[in-house]
Amino acid sequence: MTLIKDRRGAGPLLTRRTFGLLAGAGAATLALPSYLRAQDKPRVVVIGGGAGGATAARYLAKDSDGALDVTLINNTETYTTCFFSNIYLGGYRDLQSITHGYDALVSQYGINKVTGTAVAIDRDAKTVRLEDGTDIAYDRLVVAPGIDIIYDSIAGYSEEAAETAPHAWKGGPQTEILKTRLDALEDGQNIVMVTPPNPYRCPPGPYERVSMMAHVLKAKGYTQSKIFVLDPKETFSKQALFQEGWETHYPGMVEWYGPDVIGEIAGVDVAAGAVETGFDTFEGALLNIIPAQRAGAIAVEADLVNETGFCPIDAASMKSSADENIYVIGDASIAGDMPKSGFSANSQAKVAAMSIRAELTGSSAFPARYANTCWSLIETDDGVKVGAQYEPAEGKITATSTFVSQPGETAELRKETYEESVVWYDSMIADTFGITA
Amino acid sequence: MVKVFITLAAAMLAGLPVPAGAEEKAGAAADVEAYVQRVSELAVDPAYGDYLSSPCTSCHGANAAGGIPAIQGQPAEAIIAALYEYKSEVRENAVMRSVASALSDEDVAALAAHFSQQ
Amino acid sequence: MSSRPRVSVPATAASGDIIEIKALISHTMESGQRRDASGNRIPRKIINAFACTFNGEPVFSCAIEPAVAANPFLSFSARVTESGTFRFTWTDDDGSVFEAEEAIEVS
Repeated sequence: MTLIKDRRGAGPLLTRRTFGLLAGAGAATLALPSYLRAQDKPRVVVIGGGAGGATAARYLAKDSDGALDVTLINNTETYTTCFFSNIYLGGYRDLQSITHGYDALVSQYGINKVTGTAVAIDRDAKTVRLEDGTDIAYDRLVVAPGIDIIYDSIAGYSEEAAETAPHAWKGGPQTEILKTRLDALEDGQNIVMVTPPNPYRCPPGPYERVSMMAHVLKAKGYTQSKIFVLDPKETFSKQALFQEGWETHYPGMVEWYGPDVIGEIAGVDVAAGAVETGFDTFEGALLNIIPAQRAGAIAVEADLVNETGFCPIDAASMKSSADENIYVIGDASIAGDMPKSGFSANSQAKVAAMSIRAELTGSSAFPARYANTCWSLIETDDGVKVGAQYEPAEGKITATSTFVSQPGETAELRKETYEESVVWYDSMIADTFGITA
Repeated sequence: MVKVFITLAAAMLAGLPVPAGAEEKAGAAADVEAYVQRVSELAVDPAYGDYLSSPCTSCHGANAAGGIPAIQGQPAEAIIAALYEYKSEVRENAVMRSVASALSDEDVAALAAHFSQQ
Repeated sequence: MSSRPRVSVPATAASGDIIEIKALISHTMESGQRRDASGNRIPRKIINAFACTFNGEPVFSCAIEPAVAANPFLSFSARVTESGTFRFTWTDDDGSVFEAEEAIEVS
């Protein structure tokens, strides 16, 4: 606390341009965005406005009753969730229903929303640099940039190729490309999907996506189209449940092949609609290529990652192992047993917010508790789930109790599970963005 | 729950046929009563309740309905009883069984106090 | 659904080399044990036999049982001493036969 008191009144760091403006017209101070204004509250800056970042900002502002100055940096005006984007793909909801704004966080919680891209962190000066050259000072920083796609992890794939053969592993325009191309398929045209190696965002996500694409084809009465799933992993999340569901709902449509059959994924030729493997070439009118992933660029730039490409953290607080003033939450972090999911990010954000408040305002700190549930939809009203509770143990976030849906469950239970997921989504959006979805 | 117990006990005393599993259920009903009473009397730290409640709101929104019930404003006794029934696997939901299994009696008391006062 | 076979044989090898051969066919392999939504048994329809020959000589063959999963994948080895052609056949319960062939250059 002493350190923070010393910093109070020192004023935020300013760019040369902004400084000129301020010096030339003292009265202009009030017209400046609040994150550039001199003030004496401890400053928390959050990079990333997804499930992790937005939740952290909201809980910091909500629970500190105005004692903290909270700034949320996100590069877009609205956020399209990656969770439930498969449900959009399946035609169960529209894109608008999974796209959310930050207005409530600004108006109801007093959070400063900055639309811009954070390009660098000066960890000594404790400032975040935006693309436009602005520096924003912090006392504590939350880094929640999600994942970056490693395009060149698959030969022949690139950001440009993703316009034709979408990864759709970030919510937004990519999701729309995949939906448009899926809906345009004719009977007999095939889909080839390449799934990512571990670790990646949303472990059951690729397989829920297979299910939703199959649902769309089946609903149109297609009998000749196939979905080839080429996997670098020998096993995958909820495998027994998905494979049972594919056999029941989409017999003969889905062909999943692991490395024991296909060997290596040698490369992709987007123009030819072909994926070359160690076994054979798989061709499709639609390629959905999901490459390997790492922490968002800002985490790499700020040297918060280790050799895995993700950020090690303290399991008791989500504090970065590399910097005592920085917390890393969500997909960018190495969260032990927790999967990379929106639910996990939301849960981690609450622990980080509690720890930051304790450091900056002297509020109580409690032992970290985390939770996650991942719901997946296999076919209409056929929902499954997997999840756990977690606590820090021996320096790692460790599952204390786990659960997973079982093969052969009744249709009634599967429907209840899906209905749970729908309510969860709305509650999650309210919890994250402070709005009713 | 008390009512169920008394009815069944009366049925047993009267020598009437008791539904299969009813004795077990009557036992569970007595257990839950005792648990609610004991946990209701535990001292709670409101700040702890606020923190512990934060994972709940990821699913139980204030306007939740249908697949997941709203728990805000429920009586403390009902919340304690429900969590006990998940802990003791009387209630079915897999997520809630997992959640409840990780809660101590002090945790249950803090959560019940928190949500009943919303 | 079409039952398209896929095979993999090295394009070239040295005489005496042991090569790996892989063969896969898309097929639902309906076991005859499952029931549909109205409780009726779904009739058995599987690939019941596979055979591989090299220049007309048998290399490998096997019977396939209903318990085998959809899209059966086979992998086996063979020693090659001359150039030639591997021929693969899969026999369906309904009598149809699916075929594939692959040439190898042996030096």
